[in-house]
Amino acid sequence: MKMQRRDFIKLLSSSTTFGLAYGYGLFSRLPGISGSEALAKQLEDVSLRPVEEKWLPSICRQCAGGCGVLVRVYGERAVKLDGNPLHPINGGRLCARGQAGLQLLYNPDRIATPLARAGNRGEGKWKPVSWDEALGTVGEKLKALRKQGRPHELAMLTGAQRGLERTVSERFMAAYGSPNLVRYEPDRSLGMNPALNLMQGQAAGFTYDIENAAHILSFNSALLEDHWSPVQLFRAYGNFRRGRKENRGKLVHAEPRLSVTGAKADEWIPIKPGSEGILAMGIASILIVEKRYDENFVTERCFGFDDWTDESGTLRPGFRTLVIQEYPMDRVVKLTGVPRDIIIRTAREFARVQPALAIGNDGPGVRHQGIYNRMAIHALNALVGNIQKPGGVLANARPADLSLPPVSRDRVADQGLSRPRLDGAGAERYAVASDVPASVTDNLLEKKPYPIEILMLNGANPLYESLHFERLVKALKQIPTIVSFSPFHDETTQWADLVLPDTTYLEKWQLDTTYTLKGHPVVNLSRPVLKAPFDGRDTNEVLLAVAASMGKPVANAFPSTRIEDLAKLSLQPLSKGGSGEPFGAPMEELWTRLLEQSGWKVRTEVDFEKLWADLLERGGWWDPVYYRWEWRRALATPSGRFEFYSLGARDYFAKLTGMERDMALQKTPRLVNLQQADAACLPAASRARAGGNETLYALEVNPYFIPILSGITHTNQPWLQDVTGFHVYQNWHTWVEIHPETAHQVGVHNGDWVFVESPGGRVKARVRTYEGAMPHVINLPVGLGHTSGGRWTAGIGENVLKLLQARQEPFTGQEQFKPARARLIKT
Amino acid sequence: MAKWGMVIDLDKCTACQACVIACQAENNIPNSDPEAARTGRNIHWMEMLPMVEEEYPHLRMRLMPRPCMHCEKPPCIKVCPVNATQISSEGIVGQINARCIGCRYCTTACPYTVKYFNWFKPKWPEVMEHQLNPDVQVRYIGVVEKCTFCHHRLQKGRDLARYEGRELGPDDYMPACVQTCPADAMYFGDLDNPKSSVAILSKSKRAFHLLEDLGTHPKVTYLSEGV
Ligand code: SF4
Repeated sequence: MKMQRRDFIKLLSSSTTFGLAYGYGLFSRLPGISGSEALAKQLEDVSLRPVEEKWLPSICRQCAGGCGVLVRVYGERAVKLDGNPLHPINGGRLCARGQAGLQLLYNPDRIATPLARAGNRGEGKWKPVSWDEALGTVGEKLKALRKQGRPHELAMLTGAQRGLERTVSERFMAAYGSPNLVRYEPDRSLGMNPALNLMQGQAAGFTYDIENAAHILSFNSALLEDHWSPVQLFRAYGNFRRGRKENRGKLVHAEPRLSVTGAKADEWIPIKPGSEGILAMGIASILIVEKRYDENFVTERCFGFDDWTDESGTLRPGFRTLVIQEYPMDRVVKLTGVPRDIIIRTAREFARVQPALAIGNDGPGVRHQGIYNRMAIHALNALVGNIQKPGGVLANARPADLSLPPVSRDRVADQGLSRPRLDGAGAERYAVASDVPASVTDNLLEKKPYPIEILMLNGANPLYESLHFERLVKALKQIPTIVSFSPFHDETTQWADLVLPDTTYLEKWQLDTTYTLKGHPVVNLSRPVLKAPFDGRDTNEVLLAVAASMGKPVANAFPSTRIEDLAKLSLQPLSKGGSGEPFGAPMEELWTRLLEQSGWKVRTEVDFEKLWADLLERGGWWDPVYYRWEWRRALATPSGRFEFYSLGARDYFAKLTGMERDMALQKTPRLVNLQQADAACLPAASRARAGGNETLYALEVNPYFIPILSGITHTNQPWLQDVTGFHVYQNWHTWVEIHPETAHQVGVHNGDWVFVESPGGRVKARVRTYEGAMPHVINLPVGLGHTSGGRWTAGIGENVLKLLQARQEPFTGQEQFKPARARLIKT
Repeated sequence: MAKWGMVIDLDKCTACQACVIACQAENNIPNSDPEAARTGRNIHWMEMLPMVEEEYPHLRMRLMPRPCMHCEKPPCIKVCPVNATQISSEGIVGQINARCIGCRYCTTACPYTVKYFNWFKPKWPEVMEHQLNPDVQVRYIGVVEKCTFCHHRLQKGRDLARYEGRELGPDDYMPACVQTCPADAMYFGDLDNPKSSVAILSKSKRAFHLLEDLGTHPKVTYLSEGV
């Protein structure tokens, strides 16, 4: 961690500096230069009068990465964001999105006051109302619904919530009596986890120790573009490349297009869209046939590699049988389009250079890599025995338990909570899913299992993300009351009756738990760093206020009406001792680790108020100690081993009956030789066929998330919009990347405007001939085409999701893109 | 006297563009919009340049963050009729707005196209003015602007060092792009100090400069990818 002395001083001395303001060059202070009002104002401001200047810690929320921020607060304004050098996740760095955070805070298109609908639904006509009035309305409606004994008819759709934010939503819903708290965000932050859960059991999530890997084989991982925690990943990548004296890490990347990750890789393997899992199986077959796998690990720690006999005495196929019978090299070559010699070379290198990691898509964006393909990719890590090793796959350490005492509920709440969920999660074929956003649209439309009376949108914008736009609009129309907490006029908010604008991250209390890429738990804490520029209110505080206004028993959900108190209560356990500590200077960290290694453990109780002050000053707490050999944590499967044949999956299917079982099995891949029941538990990689007539729709569509926008909800940020397609010199519109020869064949030229049409829909895009496109595969960026949400996002480009159709994942019920075919039509 | 220079290690760089945005934020660069972008009139002191070489499937694409090269022999200053662009004794090529007459000779003379003309009156929606950096003057219509190696940070660093009664240290001055680089791919410092990381790295076997043969003597060194 590179420490900057001045940040350190700023942070630790906690004194504020009184600085003089400088322009660059003396000339900035010359009066009378006109041509810009901003300059005139600046000149007024920048007199020789001293202005108080502080650097205050906060947490970046432009994505789910969890980076620590220092905000340069100059007088009353925030003028720059930089990384918090003490923070274990980002060590003083921020990514592009993080740097752009002030464009979110000071965004002129933020909703400035609570709004009530003035026109028809969806018309976009509003009248400002006071907070008292708005809160009153919400409180009344909620009270009435509960009085009628229908609390379950309240639903709340959220984004990727974590930490205290999650706690507040959960407790509110529990005390009110509704089971319908649904994380709408599709597949976000899940990444590789569901696949790893099947093979390694439920853990607090998994991570890849990129920094210490010698070789990375990326299966369309979008590693450098679409990772759940970009700054950590970038830091690790820098070290992976040149952090060690010798042994520069090598990156091989398979993807249909030459992306940023592909460009940065040492080798790019163009591969047919959606066939990454099959390539993994091809590589596995070489490792097995040439006996290049780690036999020791496979025998000692794995289950289901060889065929095995189940309780009834039936022989079940193992991984070896699966690979040999289902993925002969010819088939792999044909389905992936990757030449045989490249597969062989890649496999041998993967086995030879250790530690080697096989990584599939682990990001919040692109959703086409199904769970079975991800299992196939992950199987390679077990084959080379790279589990729980430095440079390997690590199971996150268990975080400190920060939960508050359980909510006391009345009978109404208990009854409401006993109802099935709107999305079906937790029961039958969704038994292992926590949220199933994919079933929300249908169930709302069909009023299943019951109609929803009040819908709250808390950080979710389903209308942009949905692949069933029209049906969802219809469903929204049926709901009597919709309340949105969005700070922007996003698509779904247009259908609301009442908007209670949230604040953005620098304006609110935050308490958030996350992990480093080495599996250490991190607890972020921050307070508001400045006065809010708009009359928004933190949604968490609003929920607290609404609960309080409803009186007992709902008011009992929260031991206090202040979010700060809740944060304090949650953090109490940290003062009881244990092995973690507030973020510290690198020296302290090193010291702690040394002591830990020599068997000494920190176990002292500390004064809570002191800890609290420390946490606020430094930005949070973490546990820098990680035990690699806790196999029970890393392999928490029914067999206690790494399961090539997932017994968890088998249990899951065994518990289903009749139609439910058929429906669940239907979503699993079909194999040639093995039975469906076995295929459903093995890494049965497959390539879904693209829908659409091949003669009419001659091109395959390969959608990808725009790196600079990936993971952010509100894209109304001009700095980011200006650099969306830098690799092909495109911005502020949607473009389609096409191989020059294919362009020639279909009769389009660089710069032409075309309609890209698939059986599902059409979008307008600008042709960009690109050598980095595979012949006959067109690449389209996802992340543009909002229809509302502000001047720098509404009407900019098109929503490429319109071209795609959905496919539902087994187990998680998450929605994935189906491969699509398309053609280009000149405008 | 220091000679400020930068080294960018392309092997570590992930092309994440954090440097690009950090620069926009630090230096009060006006917002772009579709029109400015279409006509090539958007401003990026720091920009990510893609360079495609060879053909599918053996294609290589090099992605290079490109600031001002702060050439030791800058072609831009030779053509300026009013001395508005100059190289300082410490090697920083600066632009003095109050002198600039907007003739745009320098924008043409710079082979790296790092000089930007303000075609529009820079303006911000009122609430966005809050975020303007008080250390950096906003420009006005009709003048040229460019990367300054965040020269204002040097001034502040120097003041702090003087106030604390010590020499300017290596951590006292660092441009915004270098400070934020997540992959730690950017280095900054005094090229004349043989112990500085920039001096050492710019002698690396992997070191190269953009358009070296023009004789501009850039003070931004790139380290190539690979072993
Ligand atoms: S990685 Fe995510 S959390 Fe970190 S700076 Fe970037 S946007 Fe913010």
